[in-house]
Amino acid sequence: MPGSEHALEIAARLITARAAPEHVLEAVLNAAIDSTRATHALIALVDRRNGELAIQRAAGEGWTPEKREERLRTGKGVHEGIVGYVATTGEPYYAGDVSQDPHYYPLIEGTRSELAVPLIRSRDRVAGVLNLESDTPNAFTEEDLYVVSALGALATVAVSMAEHHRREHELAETARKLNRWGTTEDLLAEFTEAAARILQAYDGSLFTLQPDGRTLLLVASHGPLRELIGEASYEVGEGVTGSVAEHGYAIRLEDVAGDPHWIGKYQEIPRDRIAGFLAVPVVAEDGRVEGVLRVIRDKTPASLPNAFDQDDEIILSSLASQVAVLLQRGRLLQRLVQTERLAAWGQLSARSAHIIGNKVFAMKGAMGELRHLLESSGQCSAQCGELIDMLSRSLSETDSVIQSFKDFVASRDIKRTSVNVNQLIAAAARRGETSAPHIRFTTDPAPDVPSVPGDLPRLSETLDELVQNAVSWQPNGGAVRLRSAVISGSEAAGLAKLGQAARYVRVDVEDDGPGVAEGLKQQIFEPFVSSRGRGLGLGLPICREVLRAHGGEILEIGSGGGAHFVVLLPVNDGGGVR
Amino acid sequence: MCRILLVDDEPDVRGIIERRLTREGFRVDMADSAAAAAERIRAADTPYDVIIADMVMETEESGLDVLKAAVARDVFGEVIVLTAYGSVQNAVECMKRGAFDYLEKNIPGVDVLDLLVLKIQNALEHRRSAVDFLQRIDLRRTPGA
Repeated sequence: MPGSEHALEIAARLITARAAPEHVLEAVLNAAIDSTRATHALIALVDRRNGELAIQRAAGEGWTPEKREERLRTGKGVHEGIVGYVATTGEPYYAGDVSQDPHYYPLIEGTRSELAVPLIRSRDRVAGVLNLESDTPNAFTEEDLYVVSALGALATVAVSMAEHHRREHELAETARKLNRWGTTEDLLAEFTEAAARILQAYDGSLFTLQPDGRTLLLVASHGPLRELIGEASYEVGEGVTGSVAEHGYAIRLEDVAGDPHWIGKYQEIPRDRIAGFLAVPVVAEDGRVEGVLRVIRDKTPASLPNAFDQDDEIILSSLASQVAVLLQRGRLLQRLVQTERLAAWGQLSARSAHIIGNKVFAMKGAMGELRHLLESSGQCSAQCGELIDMLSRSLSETDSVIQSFKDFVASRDIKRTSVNVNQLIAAAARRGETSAPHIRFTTDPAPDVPSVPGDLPRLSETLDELVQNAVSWQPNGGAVRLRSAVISGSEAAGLAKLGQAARYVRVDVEDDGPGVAEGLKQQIFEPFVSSRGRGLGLGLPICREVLRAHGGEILEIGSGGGAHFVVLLPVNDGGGVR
Repeated sequence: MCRILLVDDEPDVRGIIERRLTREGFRVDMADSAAAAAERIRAADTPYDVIIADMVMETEESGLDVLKAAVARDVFGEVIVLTAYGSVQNAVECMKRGAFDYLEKNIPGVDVLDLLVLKIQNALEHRRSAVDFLQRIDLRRTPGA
């Protein structure tokens, strides 16, 4: 029919002219009505979030807002509607007399015949349905089917283009957000939400690897897991999410129950409602997995397949690499702030240390002279002596505060000799025993621990700091256990970010005290954060600076019991096994 | 009588060290900068036996400047460098350049002034034996020439 060619031509031209998709769909519907005996036409699209059909555009008389909003049911059962039936089977359907048809579901009054064609996307997925209704029975011919199928193909192209534009736009938006100034937490939350939106997911969640190297903690979520931010976690290797972190490969599932790793840890997303599951690793610049970004789609009963496809995986991987950039930026910022702070404190402390040091020296000297005068004139009563002692003590304590400051700034200046670690921990235990008889000290040195290059006085101070911490948190008695061992470079890398040594000496210091709370394990090594309320809180930060100056590290890994500190020192090897 | 030159830019520090050393029986002159010290060293009738100098005054290496001036005047001059908060590098540098000793003003649990007196006595002993040794060599070498 000349009319149908004309209609097709209009629609095709609109597509090549890159008209807005809604104009193309409008043209398709008008063309369908013009070139056949249809009185009504609609295009319904699959909502990828949950597999339902929703009417996108409609043409003809009598479409009320309620009718447009109606969610068309899908499935092959009786009373699912021809549109739903076609969406499920993926085949065109013609009902010459709807009153006799088992699948007919009335949307428009007065319809006598109905023709529906599926809109097929790539890889045979149904994107929607183009549906025509006529008030005449047997209104549609074989030729109409060809024409309408062609119109359906044009509509599909328009819908795909619309989808691509939407994604492009969203991705560009998220990329712009990378440049924004916000807290890392806020930006991660925005990114996770964007992932859920771009991929039309019911739930989007981001898990990041914690410093212990074993736990993936939920840090951002847009969806039902939102309540569990900061609590929900997987061990590396646990569940599908944990597997992605363990192996560094994305996992995409349609039928989750069939996957051997699936454990369904969080029941907010019941297994039988999961239509699609997609998790990709967040990979840092050095290739380590530092998190997992995952999205989940749910389904209504008997809904259309709406699992994630390969395009979705590509997009989520791209988002994951943006998240990696965000995380790295967060770390760099933190280091920068800390370095600046340290530099400022360094300058301040060098000058202050000099001035205050001179004043303290003069005061101590004056007190010494005072005591001498009083003693030699016989006028030093017991009270005088006590007062002078008090002054001396206060001065010494002032002095040690300044000394801490100075130590902290100077903690990176280390002088290396050969240090026998087992002797180091034995000496620390002895000193501990002398100072704290109510604490039980045990040492467990491994026999094969080699000497390491190190600054003996500073390392001794470091161990003393750990021992004194353990003692001060167990005022009514307890235990301190020191242990040494040799571990491989890769084992050490699993604990902390380190250099390239082939082997490390590992020293463990454990106690039976109250332990360090989960959220504080990093914070205790930050300068000027002291939960004891006294002093500068520089002890543990100094330990960390000293260890890092040695190319090692210190971390706290206690779980459930007391505190458990791990000290790592690189071994200066020619050989050694990695 | 032992003559000491004390160099420090901090008046309270000069005051207390001078008091302590005078009590020990030493004669103490003072200067408040490396430049002033160099001038006193140059203008002194006889060289000082011991010079005590703070490391950081006009510059962070003022102590070394005093050391240079002291050695230029008298090879056997003993210099003790003092510092409020020191570093190992500084100490090594001083000793390499010929200081007799290096002492931090604030050492936990130690009366630094007592320690300073002890070091001054050591320095004097060292100086005496060096001068004696030189005199003995001289006597042997010049039987009339």
